[in-house]
Amino acid sequence: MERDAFRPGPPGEVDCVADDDRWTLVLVRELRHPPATVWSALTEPERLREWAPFLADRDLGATGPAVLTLVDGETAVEQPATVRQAEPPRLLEYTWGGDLLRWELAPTDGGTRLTLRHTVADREVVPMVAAGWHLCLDVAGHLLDGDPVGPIRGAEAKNFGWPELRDAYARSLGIDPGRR
Amino acid sequence: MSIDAFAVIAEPTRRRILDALCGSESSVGELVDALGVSQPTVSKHLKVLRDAGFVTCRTAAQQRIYGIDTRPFQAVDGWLEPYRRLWTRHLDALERHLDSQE
Repeated sequence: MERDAFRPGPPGEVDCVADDDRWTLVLVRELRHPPATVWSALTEPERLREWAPFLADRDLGATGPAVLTLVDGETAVEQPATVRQAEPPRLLEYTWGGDLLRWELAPTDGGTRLTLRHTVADREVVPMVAAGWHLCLDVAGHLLDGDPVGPIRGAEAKNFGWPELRDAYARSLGIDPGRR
Repeated sequence: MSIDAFAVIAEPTRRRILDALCGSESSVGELVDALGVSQPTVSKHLKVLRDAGFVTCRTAAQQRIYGIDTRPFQAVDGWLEPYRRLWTRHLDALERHLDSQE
C-alpha cells in the first residue's frame, strides 16, 4: 500500500485496569496469521523495526536484559528493558523503562488473538498508548499481509490519525483528556 | 553536583520539557500537544527528569501534573558561580582601563 494512503482502522475493544497506583491498558487484536508468525514479529529486531515504536538490540524471545530505543524523528531515547517471560509462541513479557508490557498469543480458527497489557504510571496516558499501539498493530497487520507501509513512529503518528484515535479511546475508556 | 545532572539537561528535548514546565505545571497530554513530540518520547524523558530530581509530580483528580523542582538547578547555578566571578574580574579590568584613559 502507498504510505500516504494508509489510514488506521476503526477503534477496537480496549479496557483500562487499575493496578495499585498504576494503570494497565488491555488491547485485543485479531490477526490473520498463526501465533508463530506473530511471535517472530514481536521478538525479532529486523521485524520489530518495520512496525514497532522502538528498535531492539537483540531478539526478545529469551529472558534477560535488552535495550529498546524509542525513535522519534531525529531523536532517539535508549531505555533499559528486561524480558521477564518468553514462552514462544504464546507469552512475552518485558519491562521498558518504567512500563511493563505483556503480550499473550492465542491460536484461533483464522489466526491469532493477540492481547496486549501495557502498564503505565499515568492514567491520562492510557488512551494515547492505545492509539499508538492501534497504529503500530495496523502497520504490523499490513507487514504480515505482505503489504508493508513502513514504520510509523514518534510524532509522525500525528499525521496518520493518532489524535482522532486518542480522543476516541479516551471517550470509550471514560478518561477525561483533562487540562489541555 | 554530579556529572549525571549535566548529562540529563544535555538532551535537547529534555530542556524543552523543562522550559515548558518552567512556564507552568503540565500534564503529559499538555506537553505532547505543546512540544510536537510523541507521547512515548515525552513519557520516557519525564521519567529521566524525575529520576534525576529535576521534575516533580503531583496527582490531581487521577491525573499526574508535572512541575519543576528548583534544587538541581541551584546546583547548576552553584557550578557557574566561579565563572561569574571571572566575568566580574573582566569588567573590573575594563573599568580600570577606562579610568586610565581619563
